[in-house]
Amino acid sequence: MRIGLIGNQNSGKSTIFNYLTNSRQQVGNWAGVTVDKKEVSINDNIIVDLPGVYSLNGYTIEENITINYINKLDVIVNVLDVTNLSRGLYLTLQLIDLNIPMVIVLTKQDKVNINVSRLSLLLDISVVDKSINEIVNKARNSSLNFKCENEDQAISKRYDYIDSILSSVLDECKENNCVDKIILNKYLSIPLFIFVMFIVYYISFNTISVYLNDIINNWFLFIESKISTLSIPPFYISLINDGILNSLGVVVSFIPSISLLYLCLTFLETTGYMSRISFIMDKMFRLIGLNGKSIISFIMGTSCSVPGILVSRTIENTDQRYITALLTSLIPCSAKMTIIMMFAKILFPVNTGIYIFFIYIISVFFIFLMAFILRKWIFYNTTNYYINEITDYEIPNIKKVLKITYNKITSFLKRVSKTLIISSIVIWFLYNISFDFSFVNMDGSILGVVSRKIAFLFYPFLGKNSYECAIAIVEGFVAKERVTSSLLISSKLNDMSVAELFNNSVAMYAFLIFNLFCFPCISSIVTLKKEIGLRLVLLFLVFQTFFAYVVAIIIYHIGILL
Amino acid sequence: MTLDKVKLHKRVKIVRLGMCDQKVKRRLQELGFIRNQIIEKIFVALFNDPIVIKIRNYSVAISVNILKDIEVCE
Ligand SMILES: Nc1nc2c(ncn2[C@@H]2O[C@H](COP(=O)(O)OP(=O)(O)OP(=O)(O)O)[C@@H](O)[C@H]2O)c(=O)[nH]1
Ligand SMILES: [Mg+2]
Repeated sequence: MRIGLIGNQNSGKSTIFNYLTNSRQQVGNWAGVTVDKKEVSINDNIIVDLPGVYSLNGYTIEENITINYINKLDVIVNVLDVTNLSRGLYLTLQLIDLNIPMVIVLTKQDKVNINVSRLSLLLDISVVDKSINEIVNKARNSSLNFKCENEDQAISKRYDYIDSILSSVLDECKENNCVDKIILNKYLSIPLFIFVMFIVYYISFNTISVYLNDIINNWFLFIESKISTLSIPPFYISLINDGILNSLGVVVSFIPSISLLYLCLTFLETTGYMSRISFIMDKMFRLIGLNGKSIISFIMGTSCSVPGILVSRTIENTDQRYITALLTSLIPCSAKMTIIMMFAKILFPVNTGIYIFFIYIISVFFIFLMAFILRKWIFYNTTNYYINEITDYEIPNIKKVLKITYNKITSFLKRVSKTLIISSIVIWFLYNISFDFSFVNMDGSILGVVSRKIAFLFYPFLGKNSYECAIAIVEGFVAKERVTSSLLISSKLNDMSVAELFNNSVAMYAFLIFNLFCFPCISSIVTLKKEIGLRLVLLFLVFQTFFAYVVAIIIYHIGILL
Repeated sequence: MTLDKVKLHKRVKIVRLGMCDQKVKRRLQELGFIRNQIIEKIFVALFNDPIVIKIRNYSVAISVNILKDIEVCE
């Protein structure tokens, strides 16, 4: 039996889905967290988590995913948020008209008192607990019917019925939160938002993570020194130390910072601030062809571009959605963060967090510039409507926040560890083996020879033919954290520090900027292709790489003049 | 009078949705923007756009270009 969870956005479907199936679907306090269907089989049943819908007339892509799926369902579990009952009931009455067996599960009952049996009676639908057995046994069709010849009449008829039952099932009405008087204040809201983001980055990169980072680094150095003393051939020592531990160490040492960033962002996601940020930034975003909802994609993109790109589905207007998806791939994600952190530590050993925040500001500036260009020359016909629900505040439950953060960290680690160790070994071999498969030094190795052929491409912003940097850039195409580990491997094999791979600090800046804005990693490209089509993506990749190239050259040349 | 011209915190009643875009109109209707519904502007963003409207017991932010097509009375 196929059982689908259907309800308004933010009603708590994914929370119930996770409970029923023991899964880890993302949960968050804003509308449009889930943007794709997710099926899990339990015994003979398939439970499906679906994107939220306000009604059965789809307005956005993710709503249409749900609407197109409904007919495949044997049972509908209508998830009804009791704090938003009137709007939720509108959907319930539409679902009743579909004549698919249905039950109701109520959420957020801890916030509002509701007369459950009366609600069940008036809707002629069972209200059940979060249990698959109850759902299956109690699902049935209601005797109500709201179909009309004319949809306008049907809408009025449904709302009339909702008004008639609301007062008899609800005890109280929630009050507007006075916190919004400050957070949504016309003049304070934007400075406050910038301040909040500054604090997030300060906490993540300038506090305890700095010490943890050093501890982990020293720990890896200690292991490497122990391995060096083992009586095994130098070949294996180099493979383990330079090939694996070196690049693994650097990514692992950044985990405390990345974890703190995830923690802070999850905290914000849970409070309900996200929908407010969207409102605060909307006007400015619309001026450059984006939408207030774009900022949610961008913030999600700071963990990983892929979910960020997918979240752009909540944007109604196709052009705004395309621009948002494309630009989300430019947001510094956790993988790019490893590059930023490595350079930040070299260039700004003190107050690294402030420097990292500054890099973000520069990124945002470039992204706005790109958005402006895209809107001016490619998507010039954009009409820009904005409708977005402001979700209720919630005091974050620490256990819940920690659990979501933990899920994010483990999925980042899984993703990174899958590619990192294997690709580190492969790269180490390619750095040590020549075309006739004999062991040679780096200069004569396969990578050495190949990268020397392409190194000239990056001469204009590096000031030299650096094949170490060339190969790092190419590796970044596979995954951005590879840039970091590639530089580390080549610096180790050359007995140099990473800084010594560059002529000067200006070249480091140029290299960093180029890597942040050139082509994204392969998984982002695949996701983008799925969301907006190959032609446009290829066009954008060429454009953004060219853009990054030109900016890097400008930075380099202005930098050496100063 | 149209909703964009209404003062902050003034409660008004919806008379008509006059937008040409039927999808936007339908979405608003389904969010409860129907004739005689009482609504209130509660927050405005910088540059006076978008605006948070309180309708029934929830809040929804809407851009001014949509509010211009919502006719209301006191
Ligand atoms: N207080 C309270 N909060 C809840 C309850 N159920 C869910 N939530 C919170 O409501 C918010 C939305 O939950 P989700 O499960 O992401 O909602 P969803 O319906 O999947 O949302 P979309 O995917 O955006 O459609 C989260 O912040 C949850 O923690 C509940 O029973 N009580
Ligand atoms: Mg969800």
